[in-house]
Amino acid sequence: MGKAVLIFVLGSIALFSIVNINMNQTVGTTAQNSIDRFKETSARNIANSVASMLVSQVGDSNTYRATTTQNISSVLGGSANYRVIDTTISSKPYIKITSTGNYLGTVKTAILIIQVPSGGYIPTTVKAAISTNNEVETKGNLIVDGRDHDTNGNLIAGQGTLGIWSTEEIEQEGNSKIGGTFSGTDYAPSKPANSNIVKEEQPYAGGYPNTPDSVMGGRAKDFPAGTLKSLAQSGAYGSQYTTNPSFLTYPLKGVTYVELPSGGIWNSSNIEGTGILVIHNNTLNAVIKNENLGTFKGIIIADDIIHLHTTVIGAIISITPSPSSGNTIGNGNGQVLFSRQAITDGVGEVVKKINYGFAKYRMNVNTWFE
Amino acid sequence: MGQLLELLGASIIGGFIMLIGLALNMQISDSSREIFQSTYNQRSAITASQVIEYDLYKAGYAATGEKITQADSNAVKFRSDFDNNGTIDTIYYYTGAASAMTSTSNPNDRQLFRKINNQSANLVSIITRFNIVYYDSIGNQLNYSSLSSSVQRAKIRGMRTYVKTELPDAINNLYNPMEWREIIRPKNLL
Repeated sequence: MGKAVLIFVLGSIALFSIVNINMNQTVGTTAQNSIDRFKETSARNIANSVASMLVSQVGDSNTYRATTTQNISSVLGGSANYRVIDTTISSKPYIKITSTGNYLGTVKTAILIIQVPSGGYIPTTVKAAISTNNEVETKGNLIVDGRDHDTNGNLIAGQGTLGIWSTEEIEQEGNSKIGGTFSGTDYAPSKPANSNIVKEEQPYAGGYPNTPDSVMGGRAKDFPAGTLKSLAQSGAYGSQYTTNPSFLTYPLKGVTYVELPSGGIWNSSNIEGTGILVIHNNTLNAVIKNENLGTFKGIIIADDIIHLHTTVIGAIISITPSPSSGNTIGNGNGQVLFSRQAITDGVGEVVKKINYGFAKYRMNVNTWFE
Repeated sequence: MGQLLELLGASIIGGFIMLIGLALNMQISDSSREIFQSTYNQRSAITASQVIEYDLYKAGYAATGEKITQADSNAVKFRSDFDNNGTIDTIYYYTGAASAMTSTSNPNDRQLFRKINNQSANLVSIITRFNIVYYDSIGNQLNYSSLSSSVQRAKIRGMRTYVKTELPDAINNLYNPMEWREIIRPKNLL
């Protein structure tokens, strides 16, 4: 009996020990589950916090980038590394932030695609698809369509503007067609054009702008004299300044400022690109002629623009009161398609919103992958 | 006579020791089962929370147009490029019927499913309750009945998810519930 009890007791102790070890392991697993969960949450918080700090950093300095991986050795009890690089999505420029948080070996990553907010607008000088301070002639098969279009040239109903607006006479010749929108009604390009969408000999309150900066709205729109030229010379946002158009690189972006000598002509031109294209000199006789190549999306501000043979999606503004060649805007197969979006995007390539409102992102956060 | 008393005493003491040992073993067995099941239960809740978190934080990611296409108290369907491969997917969370769980004694347990696009639904976890409350940008709770409208669903900025898991079979008449509750504010809905 004594032996049996002894065996039983020893067996129980052995069984208890085994079960106890198992229980301890199970309790340990339970604790580890909680710890792992905490580590995951902490790592994610670190990744997101660092990403937010970087958004703020880029907001403070739009040109800030970290093209190689940077490390933060101590943040929120863990560590992090990050990169801030330029990227392109659907041909549009974005900034990509990759932030990785590490908390006691648990790693979480946040990937952000952000954009400097566009401050694009349509200058009040844009009265029509083509606005001029001089007599205009349309010839050949030129199409001027003041109806609204998207940036791909697809029609948007009821939101357009006039076809041509001028302080002088407008003559529609050849097989050229003019369309536009008046009081919400769209008029398809035709010859003769509907009189509602062609406005000639119009007064311009305060006098027609005689510089590209005043076309953009001048000081009131943060374009004091010389701003466009300075932007172009700075190279910001892909801008270019030249006195010799053969040195331009394509596609045009930001502000492309072509300053020609008096009477200078940029002939047989390629205008492929986006943004704001300026052809100007102080005597208002810089000419862009025979625009034969490329599609331009945005706004063209030229002293004198003639013989358009390609496509402009946006708007054209001519400054000079004394045009060459009778200012025949086009005499071939060119087309000018008014586009609010193309103008806004084009201006927005160089006009950015900054510091708008407390506790707001000063950047557009397009996507946040966490 | 003395030997008889000694034998009787030893038997009684030995019997007590055996009873104590048996009781101890039974208690250890119960505790062990309870702890093991609780761990399983916790694991179920954590698994569910990890999967739901992973997806919900990405709700609306890279999607244009309508981002949340269904918002019910126990089901949600949203669009997101959750795997970041450039393709927008539709993710659908919903629960099965409690009656479908025939092999367990818990009357409330049911399956929580996750369905991607038109693929077969995958089991996320066994739960006893799955509930989502929707909030707008300033934290006001959105009424479920209003969320049949896409205009109202477009106002969703936060989702409070609640998952309750229980043991499939009771231990000492208890199902040892485990709850997970979290307000998720998907950044791509902001």
